[in-house]
Amino acid sequence: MSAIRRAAWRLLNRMAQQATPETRTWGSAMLREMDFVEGNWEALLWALGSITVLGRNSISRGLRSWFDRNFSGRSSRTMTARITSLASGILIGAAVLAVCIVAFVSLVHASWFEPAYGKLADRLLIVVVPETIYLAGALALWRQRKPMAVGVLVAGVILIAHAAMHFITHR
Amino acid sequence: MRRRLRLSPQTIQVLGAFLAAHKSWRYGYDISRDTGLKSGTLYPILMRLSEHKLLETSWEATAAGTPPRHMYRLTREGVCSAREHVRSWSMRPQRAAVSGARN
Repeated sequence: MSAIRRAAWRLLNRMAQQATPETRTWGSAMLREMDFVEGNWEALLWALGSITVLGRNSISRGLRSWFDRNFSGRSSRTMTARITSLASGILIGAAVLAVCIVAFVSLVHASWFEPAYGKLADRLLIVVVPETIYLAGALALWRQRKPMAVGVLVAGVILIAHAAMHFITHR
Repeated sequence: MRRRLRLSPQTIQVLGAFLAAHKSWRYGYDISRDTGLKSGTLYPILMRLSEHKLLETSWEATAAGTPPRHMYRLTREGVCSAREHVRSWSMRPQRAAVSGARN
């Protein structure tokens, strides 16, 4: 067995073992079929395709079970309350960010502000401060108002993803 | 509630491959070679067909020490459904051609 095929086999085997019980059978099936794939690179492609299938399946099953756990069997009023709470969390996150942006703009336009510290102030006030507030807020809200805490975390994830994209493209 | 089976051209291809020898068990890689579909496309289709009870699966009995292979075959319901879908799919271009000729 070549190194490529061995690596592909290991990757797929690991993924199959970590799959949900319903998907594990399919993972084992794909793993076994890989033995019959001619060519090492073809085997690697087979493994990567199979890993994608297993990953996608696990994510969708996980999301479905999370949704069932949190929303099924509950009255529409409870569901509405949860969705409203989640949306409120996101809105709070947006409001915190807006306040931070206003603070940053005021700071940059202040007469005493050193322009050399612009980048640092940007990163601190637009990323670090709001993210810290989100984290602290989510921790404080988690026990009493979980959906709202999730909303705040969603806002945090969106901001961090945006910041990461910005840093990558503007490096 | 079971979701509706999505009939993509690839699903029709897989159904067609099964219909070519609908009584015999087929292996995943053989279907992949017959249809030209990669594992990332083929297996979600097989999973969906199985979920809809159109496909039955089985592990091949092998000699000791050899890992078994997963095999697939259309169920009776699957054969009827596949024939219907493949037929209606093959009618599509003809319909388009007929309507094109009329215009």
